[in-house]
Amino acid sequence: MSSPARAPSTPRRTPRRQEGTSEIDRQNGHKTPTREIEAQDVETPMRMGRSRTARGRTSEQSDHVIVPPTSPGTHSLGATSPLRSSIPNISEIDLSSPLNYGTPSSLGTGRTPRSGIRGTPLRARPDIRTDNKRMREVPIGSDALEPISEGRSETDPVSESGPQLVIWGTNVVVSVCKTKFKNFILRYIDPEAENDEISENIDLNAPLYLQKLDEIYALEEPFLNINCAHLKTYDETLYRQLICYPQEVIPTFDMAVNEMFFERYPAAVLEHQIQVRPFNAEKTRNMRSLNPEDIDQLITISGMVIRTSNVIPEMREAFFKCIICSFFTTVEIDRGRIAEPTLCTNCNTNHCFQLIHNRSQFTDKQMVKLQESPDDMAAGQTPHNVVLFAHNDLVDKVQPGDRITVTGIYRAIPIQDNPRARNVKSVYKTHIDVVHYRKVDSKRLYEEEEGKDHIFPPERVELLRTLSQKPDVYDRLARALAPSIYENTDIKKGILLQLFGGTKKKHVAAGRQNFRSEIHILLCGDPGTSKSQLLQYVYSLVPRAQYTSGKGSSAVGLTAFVTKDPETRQLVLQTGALVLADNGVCCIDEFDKMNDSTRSVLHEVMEQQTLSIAKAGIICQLNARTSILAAANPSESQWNKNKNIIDNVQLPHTLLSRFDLIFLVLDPQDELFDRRLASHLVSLYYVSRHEEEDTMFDMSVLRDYIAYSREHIQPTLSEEAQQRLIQAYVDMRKVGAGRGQISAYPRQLESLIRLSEAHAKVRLSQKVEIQDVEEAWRLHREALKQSATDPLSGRIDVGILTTGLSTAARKKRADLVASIKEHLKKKGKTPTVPYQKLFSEIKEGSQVLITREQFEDALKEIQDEGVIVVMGRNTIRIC
Amino acid sequence: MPNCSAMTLPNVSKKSGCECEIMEIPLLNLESFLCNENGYLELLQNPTNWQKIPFLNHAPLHELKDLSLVRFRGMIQDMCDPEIYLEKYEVRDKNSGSSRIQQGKYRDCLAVGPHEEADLTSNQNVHGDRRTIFVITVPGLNDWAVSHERSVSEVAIQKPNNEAVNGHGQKRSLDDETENMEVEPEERKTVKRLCNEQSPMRNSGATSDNLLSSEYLLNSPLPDRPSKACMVKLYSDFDKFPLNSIVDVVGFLSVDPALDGSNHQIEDFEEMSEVQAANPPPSLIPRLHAILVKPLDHVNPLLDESLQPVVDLDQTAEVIRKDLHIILTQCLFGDPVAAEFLLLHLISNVFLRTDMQTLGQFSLNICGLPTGHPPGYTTALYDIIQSLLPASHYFPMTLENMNTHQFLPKKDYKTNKLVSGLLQLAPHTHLILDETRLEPGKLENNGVRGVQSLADLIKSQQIKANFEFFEMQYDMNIPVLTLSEGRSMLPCDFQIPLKDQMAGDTFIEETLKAAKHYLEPKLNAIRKYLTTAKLVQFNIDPETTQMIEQDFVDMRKADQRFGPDQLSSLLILARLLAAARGRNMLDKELWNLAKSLQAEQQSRLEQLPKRR
Repeated sequence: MSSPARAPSTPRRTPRRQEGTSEIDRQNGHKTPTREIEAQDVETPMRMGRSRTARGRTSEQSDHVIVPPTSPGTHSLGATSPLRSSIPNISEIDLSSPLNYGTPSSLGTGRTPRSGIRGTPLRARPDIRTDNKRMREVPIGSDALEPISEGRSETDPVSESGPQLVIWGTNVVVSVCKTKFKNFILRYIDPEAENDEISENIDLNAPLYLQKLDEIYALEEPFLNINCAHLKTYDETLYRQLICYPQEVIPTFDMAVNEMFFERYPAAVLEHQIQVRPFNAEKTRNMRSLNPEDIDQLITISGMVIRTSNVIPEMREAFFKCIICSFFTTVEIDRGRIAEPTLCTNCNTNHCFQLIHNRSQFTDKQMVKLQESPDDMAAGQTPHNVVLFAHNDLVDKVQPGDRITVTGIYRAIPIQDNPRARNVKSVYKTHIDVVHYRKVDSKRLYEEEEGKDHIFPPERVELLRTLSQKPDVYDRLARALAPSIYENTDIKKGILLQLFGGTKKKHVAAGRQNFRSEIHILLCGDPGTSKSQLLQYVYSLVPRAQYTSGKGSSAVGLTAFVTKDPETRQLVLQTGALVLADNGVCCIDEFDKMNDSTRSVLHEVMEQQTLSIAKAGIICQLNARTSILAAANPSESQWNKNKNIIDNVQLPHTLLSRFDLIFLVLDPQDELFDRRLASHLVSLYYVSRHEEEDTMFDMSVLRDYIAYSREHIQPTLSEEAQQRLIQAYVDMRKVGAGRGQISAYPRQLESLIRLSEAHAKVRLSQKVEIQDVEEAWRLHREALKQSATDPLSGRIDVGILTTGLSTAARKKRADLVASIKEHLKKKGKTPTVPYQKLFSEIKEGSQVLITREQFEDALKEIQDEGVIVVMGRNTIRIC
Repeated sequence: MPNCSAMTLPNVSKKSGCECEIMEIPLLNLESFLCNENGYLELLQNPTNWQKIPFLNHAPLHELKDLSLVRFRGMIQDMCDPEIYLEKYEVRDKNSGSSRIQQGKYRDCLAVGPHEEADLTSNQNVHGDRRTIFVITVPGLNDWAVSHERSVSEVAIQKPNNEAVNGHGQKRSLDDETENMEVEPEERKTVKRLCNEQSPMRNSGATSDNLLSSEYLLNSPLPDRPSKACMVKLYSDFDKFPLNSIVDVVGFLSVDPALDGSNHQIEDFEEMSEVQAANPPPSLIPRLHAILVKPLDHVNPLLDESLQPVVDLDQTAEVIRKDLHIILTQCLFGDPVAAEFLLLHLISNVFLRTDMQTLGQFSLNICGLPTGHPPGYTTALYDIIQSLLPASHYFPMTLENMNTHQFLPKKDYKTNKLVSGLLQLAPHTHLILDETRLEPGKLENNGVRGVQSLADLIKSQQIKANFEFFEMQYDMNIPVLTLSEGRSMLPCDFQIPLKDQMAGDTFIEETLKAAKHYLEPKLNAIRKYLTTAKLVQFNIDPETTQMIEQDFVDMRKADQRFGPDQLSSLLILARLLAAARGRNMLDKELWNLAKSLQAEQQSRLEQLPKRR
């Protein structure tokens, strides 16, 4: 490889300014001569840092020509190698250096008025760490997208097409990259931008990032956050380049944005030039899957902050002064090393330099330890940690305990025991240089899970879709729920619908902020009917679930409390179970043991889905969009058959009506049930159970299915469904007139709608259809065992539960059976009896009215006994 | 045997032909292994070869060479963060300028000769990642198991060693020093000598400024029974082995003193304690680069020969069981029912775990120990039990112990270590809690949490490791036996009040001594029997299922209180009764035996004073 071309244009160096270093600014002005000397002095034996000479800076006066080096040597081009060798002796442009834009014209004029791209100082980006990275100018043809072969650099440096900057070892052409990025900013419109990306007055139908530039202008916060997903949809190649060469591409973006910004707002005053902060790179989501291939790439991972260090001042530019002649020079830090100048170029003394600390420049740096979130781990593993380095503005942005999503560049640095000693260990230290933090803050809680969108691989989505097409998907899912708990299918179905939830609606125009989409369920019944086990299961299934016991919780524990931080003496609001379960399920066991004041807190939470706090000087309203799954025992610990529901449960009616489903879990006391239960248990203990189970829905599939549906499916009511709902509600009102019933309120209608929506979600259907309403209606009735409730007394007839008939009806049927038998006996030896005749004879012989259905039921019972056989519609044979 | 010397390395670099001769397993070195990984791994599948490898658990470290092949067995106590290392790198000769590619797998240090230099920036370098797991010798491994393990490994190793002496100048003295489990202080010197390219002044005096004690670094769950530790580097199957599982690892030893973190250069954001914890002195905690990791079902060294899953019990099972039952009856004041329960407890095992349920645990509370029992009774009983089981631990629940002991593992974020606790035990390690030692007094915060975690363990066979910001649940398989005078304060699956059948319990001490004596010749058979019975595979035929169904229906008719929970415990009882008799099918006879046992237990429980 021969010498690459040098840029004919002579970019200039603007001094780097740290805020509040006007002193140094002035120094920089004087420094120019030093620089020239350095540049010329290529052959000085002890150079002032390799990076410095290699950078080939030219001063304003371009008469100092840098000798293009002859051979760059045998350095690698491997862009993926974690330690790309620093490439000496090529005419390059340091991206981090202000050489690329900006002129010294602003130098002499001082700092006011400071506006425009030239006046705004550039701030180094230690997060990108461009110190040893350079771009190379290579003249190439107009077709910029073509990968540039190394050989092309041999062409005439001053060709007609003009030079183009290419990032070393890559096919990224700087100018093309810039143009594309500008276009992206100009054109990208995202009507579905996420909550924390948009601020109040952003128009979703206008280019998003242009508005962000407006915002920067207005707020004077010179950071532009770019969602990589947007970039990906806009231009896949550019996105790839950003992911693979963030170190080079991000500064290019910076340049582009600044040019655009100052074109639009020439008078803008910013603290420093705009820095682009990409986030949401899809490269890596899981800390566990980080591997050597990710080194030097832009990655996004999520986790929990466990430790933050103090702020560490990191030297960026060392200031050296010659003790003999007071000549001074600065040396930039290259990968943590200071190349101390040995020879003073002014007085030619050796080893005369002294480091002057208070004139060196420092940046803030902080070490943050991030731990992988427990959901990402396989069972039985321990969580991994990864070290993050935050720089400048990002220092002290996160606290231990925060759940964050980090975008940054993954780095590996060899461990060196001693600068002089050889490396002994072949291990690298890894860390991530943070480019962007995304905190899970209140604005993002619309989403399902902490800071992590579920991105399902297409195969997974395909699988979920296929599953949803199965006609019995609802039953299968219900079965997959807590498979170890026997039967109780309807309760499981109810809980399933709760996990899916209704459609989120907002009717701001109608004056109502939020329609509750969460479904609340109360399980109530005899002890030992595995209520707690169900709660436990839900608690283990749902990512954001909380489990409390009514006995042990106080109102404060459920809601929020205020503590004083002993160190800062600050009041801190600590959230309780309900707030922590926001967007999840709050399981409350022993609901009946909860004292009244605690329970009263739930009124607001259950309907408004918020929690208002006014204590110790803190007044606020917290979101508590949680579904409540509560379990209670009847007030007399056993269900009293002689009492109606309200008397048995002994909970305030106002609270009861807030539950969408109230399940009565009663011990059926039935032989068949016992038998099936026994065989279920035996199979647990002896048969290798996994074969017989529905393998299609294991816990992870179930979890994904629910998450997918919750995120992507927002069903609306169809016309027929609406009609059916109206009908159902009217029916409910009629029935509920009796005493002791849970009478129907508009709330119940809302519940029905929610349940129907949830059922549609189970089918992954965007439309609520009549079958959904039917199931919701059935479940609603089934839950309360309304079918089993004697409408007159409001009591539950347990007989109905087992036989489907009330005691009175059963007695009537037994009488009928007896009278038919009697009648048949009288007939004597006739082998067959005409059906119709028998019916009319019985009807006549009876004192009460006998319907055809009753007659048929009775006949069926006799047939089961084996006394008769009904032959078709007309004849009955006596055996 | 070449150790990180440059002499043999050129062979590797031109290894296109890969013609290294197949070496005998115990003498295998890293270079020849890399030539033919698969071939050697196949050889290692053979248990006899496996047995010949020096056993790091017992061999003194100074007798093992750096980079030699060793074996280690233990429990995974902690998992460290992944490491990125140089899998292949270019090494350049400073004199000639020629370069070669060096493999970095299975070693910690860069293998460079005296005139060579590794080129960290070469584009031929390949990076790999590996994981480190922190393995400690099985906590609570009983003395008999330890000495058996040791004697077996010595016999196995000595053979090839004698042959090797002349060829390789390897010196190995298996004198009485091996008895000493502690790491000798002079070891440090030995190791240093072995690693010839180490700068001599490196670690002189370095040990003195260690921030962390060796106890902290070794991290033994049972501080009074310290275990050895070893950091095992995995190169594949990262997530295959869960925490607290037992593994047998074969790999290359790495004890280069340079690995000691106490003389690393520390950057200002790092904490010395963290670096030291991640890089403990290799003389204390050697590194092992695993080439083969086998998960183990049990730690009984008597059943070790094949390392295969245990086969069915033979006819002798019934004889052994009867013997054991007689002894246990004697030990439990002549109570055969309690003895039966204890026997079942000794062979209990969690055999199935679904998302919510744990099946098979049989935590037992033997209550109603006669109030006048001699003070040494519980320890003497434990003495008998520990002579039967490969691993067990006796924990007297004194107030002091409860208030001071660390029960659950806790993450120390300062050092990034999972600090172990009493309950972090390997599967099948029996925990015997002596509640008779508890006296009225104040249970402090730690004690209350201790009781809570014991209760959690007994109920769900899970422990919640404390990660400060959250808790992580880990599945356990620790049978818990509680000895108490009244009802135990801890929950349990089965509770059996003792019935004193022997009038004069003053003789119990003599009885226990006699029992021990009587057991002596039968011990090994019983030990094998117990482990085998634990792991027996089980089934049931449909007829028996029907019979059980019918029984359940009848029992429910007779007594409404007989619910699913009662049926569950009956099923466990029946299963263990059958397993104890060496059968893998349930039949009517055993089912009825289980029913009568349960009935007996119920009636005894009803006689106990009611809990308030």
